[in-house]
Amino acid sequence: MIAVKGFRGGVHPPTNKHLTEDKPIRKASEPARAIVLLSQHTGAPCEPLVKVGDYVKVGQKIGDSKAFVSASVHSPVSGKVASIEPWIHPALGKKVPAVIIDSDGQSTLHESVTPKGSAESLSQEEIRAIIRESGLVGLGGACFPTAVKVSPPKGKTIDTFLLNGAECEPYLTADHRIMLERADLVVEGAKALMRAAGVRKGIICIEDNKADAVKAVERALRGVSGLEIAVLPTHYPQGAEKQLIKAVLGREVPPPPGLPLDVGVVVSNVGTAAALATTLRTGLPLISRIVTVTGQSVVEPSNLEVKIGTLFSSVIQDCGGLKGEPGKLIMGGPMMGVAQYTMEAPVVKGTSGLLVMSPEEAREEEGTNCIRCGRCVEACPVNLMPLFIRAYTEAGKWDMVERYDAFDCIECGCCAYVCPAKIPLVQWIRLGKNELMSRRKGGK
Amino acid sequence: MLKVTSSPHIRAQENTRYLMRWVLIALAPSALYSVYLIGTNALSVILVSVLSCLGVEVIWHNLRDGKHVSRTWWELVFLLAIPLLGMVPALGAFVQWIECVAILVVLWFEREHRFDGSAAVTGLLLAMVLPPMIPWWVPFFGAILAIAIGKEIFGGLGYNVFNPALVARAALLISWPRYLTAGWFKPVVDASTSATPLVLFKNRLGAEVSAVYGPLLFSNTGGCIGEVSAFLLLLGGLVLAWKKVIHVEIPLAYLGTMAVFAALAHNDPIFHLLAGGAMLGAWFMATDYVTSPLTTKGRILFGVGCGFITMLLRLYGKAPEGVTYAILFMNMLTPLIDRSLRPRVYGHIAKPVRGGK
Ligand code: SF4
Ligand code: SF4
Repeated sequence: MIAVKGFRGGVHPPTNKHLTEDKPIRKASEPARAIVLLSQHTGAPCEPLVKVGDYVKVGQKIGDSKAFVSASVHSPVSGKVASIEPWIHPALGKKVPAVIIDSDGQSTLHESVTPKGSAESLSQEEIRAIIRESGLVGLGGACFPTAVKVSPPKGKTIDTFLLNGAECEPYLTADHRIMLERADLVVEGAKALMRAAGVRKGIICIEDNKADAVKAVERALRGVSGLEIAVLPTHYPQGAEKQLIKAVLGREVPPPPGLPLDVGVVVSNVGTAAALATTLRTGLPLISRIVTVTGQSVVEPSNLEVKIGTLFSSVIQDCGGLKGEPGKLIMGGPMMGVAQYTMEAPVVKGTSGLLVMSPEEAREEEGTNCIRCGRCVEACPVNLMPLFIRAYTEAGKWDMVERYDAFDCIECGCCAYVCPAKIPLVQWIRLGKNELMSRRKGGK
Repeated sequence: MLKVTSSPHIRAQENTRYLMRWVLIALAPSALYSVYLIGTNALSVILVSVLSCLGVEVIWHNLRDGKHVSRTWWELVFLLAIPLLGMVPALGAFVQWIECVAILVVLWFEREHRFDGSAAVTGLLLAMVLPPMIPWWVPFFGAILAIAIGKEIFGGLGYNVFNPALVARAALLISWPRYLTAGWFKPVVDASTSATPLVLFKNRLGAEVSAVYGPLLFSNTGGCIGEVSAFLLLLGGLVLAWKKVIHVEIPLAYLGTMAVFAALAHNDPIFHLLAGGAMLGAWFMATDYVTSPLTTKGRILFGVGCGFITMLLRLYGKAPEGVTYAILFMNMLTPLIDRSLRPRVYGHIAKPVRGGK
């Protein structure tokens, strides 16, 4: 086992994982209609490969892009393309083009869906091609195309592959259940990812509040060389790439646009590894994912395997619906998740969880002036001084916003979480960053 | 209706009021003990000071925000007129109580006002640094200074540079030195005014200073209201440290520096830590969030500076005590400390040394 080094700052919010951590992954009911957004990842959006009226099958590629940083999308159902029109994107909060497919209920597989082989039997290039074709992205929520991640530019040497099973966000248990129930897939996928990236050493990182998952992964690792486990003390935001690298390896990624590979590391979510292993075994591209549906307001909080393109409303129906009026619907966890203004957005590749808060839980406390208590400074895992970034943003002193390193903020929410004055610090910092960005573009 | 706000969607429970409430709780034993020992004089100073601070805050905020303007003007006139009753011989002895009741009435009218608790903390701290045997209008006036000049003029909570209670004390000290440097309480001997241990020390009267450890710890010594028991103050400070309300590095650096300085100057370190306003200053005044630095390094520097200046003033200054001016001086440096001692941002290499390769 690896001796972990930890990271500075961070917080310990109530994890609330008890709602779903003991619930085995269950298949959600098939959607009658799938809404597949053409932009579900970081990078160039896809162009549709089908037309309205086309008949498509499960696993058929329906959108792709020639750009290097992009990820193709596939049909999760078999049926007819009903329309191609803009639909609300749950993370962006605006409409993006989507392929809408009416399912025929047959789940007919596409011809391309055939087993690909094992991590050992395939070459580096073959695995990279499979990853690219399957539309795999980081399933932790960042949605960075995995094919890009495992193809480091020439001249960068990578010595360590970190498999992120920290799942530090409160409430979420999807990765926990995956590691517990599908440990062999995680290990198989990890081997394939490492092979694709050309890395010999891999570390599966798990927080110590998932002891059963640690055991399961340990069992799956028996006889496997090159992969180890690091058990980390529970500490938010340990699952953030940069903090994980610091905690496990003691290395610091250079400031943006610095990437983990600048310090010889690639980080990938355990769910991504399991998804890759599934693709290798069955040939199915990324058309479903595990989503934790949770919150006090959900009748039956669950871990569901959901087809991409299923509407949030039907996912929640699958969990017995809601107790009373919802106050807030959040895609992701409570610290970094995105509040939704409609239940009619579809599950995307990055939907790690759906959290429904009651109106009571969603109520916001009225705050005071900043009392300069320093708690935000203490909690910031990046060592920023959030109160100053906020104050300079409010005052419109953009050069100071930049000098206080607003661009280094990872938007983890720790500062706003601890602030006794209840100042929405992250919102201010985002505002500051956006303004700086548009000024840069404007050539100022 | 789904509510849409920016992440994070959960918040820690502690809020500003919670923190202020704990400061009040931590000060309560010392305040109550001084009332027990000294009696109604201490009670009147504490009540007048706390209530006046609350009253000034309400009136200032109302007028600033244009809320209930005419009613607020009447309240202001009402509260300022009451001291005039002191000229009526029959009422003279009770004016402070009438004023307290009047403020309570005003506060009842303004019960909608959201207090963040900071005014109460300022009021209590101000009372703690005043001698108990002073005319009641000194804390009344001090409260106006503390809230109006000490805080609101800068823009309110969070914007003031100096500790409001100490600003008021410093101003009162200059305006009415004779009230502020006398009126000490001396419990055993019945003289209501007596020299404090620090004054005795200053005048080289306290030959055997260590003989006063017990009195200093447990109250049998002359001084301000807040100086009756170093032990209870320490206890309150430790409670705040345990509840993580204050940053413990400030009092540790403060008191540690004082002890080292005293030892080097061949003084009794323990005497210096227990005497005067050291405990109150280190645990409750220097730890004021608004006026102390934001980073651990900054806070240590701040504490060391406070301790150093306090001892400098005590040993070589004209006045017996130096806590007030030491903290005010370091308050002034706080913005500079904050800007120069920034934490190293993750992934950034330490700033290159000038002239390096
Ligand atoms: S945590 Fe809030 S109140 Fe405290 S310094 Fe930061 S912004 Fe100000
Ligand atoms: S400033 Fe950014 S990185 Fe730092 S705690 Fe706040 S959200 Fe996280």
